[in-house]
Amino acid sequence: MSAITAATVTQTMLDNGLTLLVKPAPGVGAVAIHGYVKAAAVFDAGRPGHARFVGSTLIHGTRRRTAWQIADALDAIGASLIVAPGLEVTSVTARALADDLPALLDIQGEVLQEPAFPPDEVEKVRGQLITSVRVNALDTRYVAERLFRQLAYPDGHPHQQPPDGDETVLARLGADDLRTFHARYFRPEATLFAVVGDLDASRVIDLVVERFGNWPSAGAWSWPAFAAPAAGEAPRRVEQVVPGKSQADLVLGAPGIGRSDPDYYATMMANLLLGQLGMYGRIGENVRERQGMAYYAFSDLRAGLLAGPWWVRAGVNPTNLDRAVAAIVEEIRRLQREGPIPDELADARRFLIGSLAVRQETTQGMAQLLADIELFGLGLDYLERYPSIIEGISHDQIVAAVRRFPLEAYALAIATPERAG
Amino acid sequence: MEDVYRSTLPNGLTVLIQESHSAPVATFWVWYRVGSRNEPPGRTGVSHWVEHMLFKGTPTHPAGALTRLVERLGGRWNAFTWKDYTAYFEILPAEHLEVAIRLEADRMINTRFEPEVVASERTVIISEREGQENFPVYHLREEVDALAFKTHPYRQPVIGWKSDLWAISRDDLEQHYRTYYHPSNAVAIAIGDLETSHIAAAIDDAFGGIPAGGSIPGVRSVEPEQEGERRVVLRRPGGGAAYLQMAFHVPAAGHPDLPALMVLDGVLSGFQGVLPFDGGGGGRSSRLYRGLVDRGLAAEVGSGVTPSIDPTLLRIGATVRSGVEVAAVEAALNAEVARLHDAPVTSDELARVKRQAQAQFVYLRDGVFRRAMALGAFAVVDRPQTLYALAEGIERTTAEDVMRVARTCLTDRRRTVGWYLPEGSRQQEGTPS
Repeated sequence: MSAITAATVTQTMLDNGLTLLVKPAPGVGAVAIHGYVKAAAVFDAGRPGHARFVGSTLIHGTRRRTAWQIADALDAIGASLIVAPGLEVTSVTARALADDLPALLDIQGEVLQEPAFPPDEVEKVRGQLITSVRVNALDTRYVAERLFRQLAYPDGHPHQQPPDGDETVLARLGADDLRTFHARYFRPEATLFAVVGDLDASRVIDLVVERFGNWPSAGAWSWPAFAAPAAGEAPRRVEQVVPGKSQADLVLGAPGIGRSDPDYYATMMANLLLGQLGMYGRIGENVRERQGMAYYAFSDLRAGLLAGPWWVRAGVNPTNLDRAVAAIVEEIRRLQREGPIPDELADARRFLIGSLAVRQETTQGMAQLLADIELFGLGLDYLERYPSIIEGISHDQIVAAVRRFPLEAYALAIATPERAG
Repeated sequence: MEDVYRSTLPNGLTVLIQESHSAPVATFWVWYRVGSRNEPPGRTGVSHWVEHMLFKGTPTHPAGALTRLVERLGGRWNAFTWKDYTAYFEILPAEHLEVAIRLEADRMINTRFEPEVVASERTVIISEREGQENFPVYHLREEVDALAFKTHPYRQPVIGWKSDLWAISRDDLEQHYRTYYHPSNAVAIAIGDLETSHIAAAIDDAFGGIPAGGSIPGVRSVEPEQEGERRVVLRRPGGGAAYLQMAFHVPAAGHPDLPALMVLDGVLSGFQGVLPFDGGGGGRSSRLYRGLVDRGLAAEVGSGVTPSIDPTLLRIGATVRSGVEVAAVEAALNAEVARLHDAPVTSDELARVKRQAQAQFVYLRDGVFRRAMALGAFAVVDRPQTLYALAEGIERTTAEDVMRVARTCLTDRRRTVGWYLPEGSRQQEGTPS
């Protein structure tokens, strides 16, 4: 299985605007698909959970097959097809034996283009989603994330809440609402698939064109405009008690940057040093290794199509909350003040460049990498250019990037069991 | 056995190597035959804690230097502890595989147990446990395990009871390490874009000089036959849904019924794979999904069995849909179990599960990491060949085999049932619609 390069990947755009990337992987016997449809909670428009409800119901019946027939057809060939509605995109991941790709694409094509939203299946999915909302409402990690998003993002911004939805909205939406959302947002020009497997590229292209070529285009597709998060002026903190828990979970951070931001690579490397490399970077070294306060304490930069959060997340005993927050803030300040030390920067560069091979170990990993490359418009020669991009990021750029983290105005959300005293 | 090179070094280290040239990567694993199964009361969690200590450095590779070494090569590494084993792995660009081999050999014998590091790690592990405690389903699982096994250490949580985590000493950790971390108690696996003879020599060079070590204490407890249903109802705050777990005693990995058992699990919830921790449901044409989720009783349902050294459990777990009584979910589960007793699975169902298993064995060959994980787990719980024999055994399994195993294992008297009921929430309110 050769690496992803401009020469090993075939890229095609169907007449209706659907983008397809194909990378042969001779000998594996299987095929993996990773795709995105830019139809997700970003279009919820005041009805949180709408996109999730739609995405979760797609696989529950089409104009040609019942939910049972879809399940039966997939299980009969040992294939999987998962539609996962998220905040910015709905992910479509699938896997089958290579010979079964036609059968898999038949189902995938129907599910995305002609879902039927049968009433009994809509009710079944509604019950599942409402159960999960109620479970999440008492999950400290989830609660901390929800509180953080409310604190850090303005009203109407897609990142202001997780994509899971609101129980009252989920209870109210009808099959027609789901149908309308699907018709409007699930469109070929908002869709891309990366297919990696034991097949010729031309064969895969033919199969996809047969099944998706007649999906009518709805014209030019554009991303809606959102108010940019305003910079805060002082740290904001919110805390919610969740009974029956042992550990407090915290989220500390701010709105970050989008993947297309010119500072992306410097910020990504700053994040790597802050809370990823080794045992969760500098934050892990302080909070976990030196002070023994947390099993997990890491930072994460959610740079997507929009400026997702740049946050630090940790789970600590409630008695250690203040000490953990102080340690996290101290590490951010230190990195802002001093920047990376030379060894650290060299390690980060070598890790990022060296790990490209491991990221392409499986067909599934490769398909995801390819889909991301296309989603963010990086170009098929991206991985060939990647080492020079990383080598080109300087110490000063990283310092500048980490200084964009507004320490004076971070948002801190905590979900905690009751604290003594 | 599928083109796997196998040898045993004079010090007892089992070595398994497989070439896979599909990508320029390789993975190296060391599996130790030690886990919570080997822990005496009062020292539960010690195996997992020792696993953490193996990341704390040796005189040659101080803490931090180990991680930097792997990451600078573009690799990643980690470890996990289970009831039967503790496994350490690296995956990295193939040309650097020997670094991983030397690193694992070093920490097999030279890991340091410095008191201040042990103290700091104690609270990290307690934090890990407390994070799990935040999920009611974790509490329920602990209750069901502790009830299903009366004497066998499979009753203990891998992470350990909290009181033991406060009590375990530095010397306990080092003694556990010195007792179980030996070549003769380990399996080394290398898979990837490598040359077998070259890597065999590198493993010999790195591990060959390590003394074989003393004899390993046996696990004496034999779980007596369960002679009646056991039941626990856990009520505590913190849950947004009710959960049901059901566990049945089933044979060990070395038992000839393992393939039929895996097929039975596949009939219940779809055949999801052969790796440790694979499974958990997902097949939407499976019996449990149709009987519970399709009927609006459960939001999720799954089943699973992890092949184990000693007789273990087949588990079924369901998240009860809001507004539904747990008893209704249990009744539906019981009906599914009764169906398995009363009539053989249909030829269509059997063919579907076998096809799923065939596909999973093909997927297993995609990449090097999962292949090494499956091979290692079977090497420890039985023999490496068992992984490949399982594929053939599943092909040979008949509907009668599945019914026989169901009638033998999935009985009321061998069953443990656990309910979790949330306190102080609105779980018992009416059905949303």
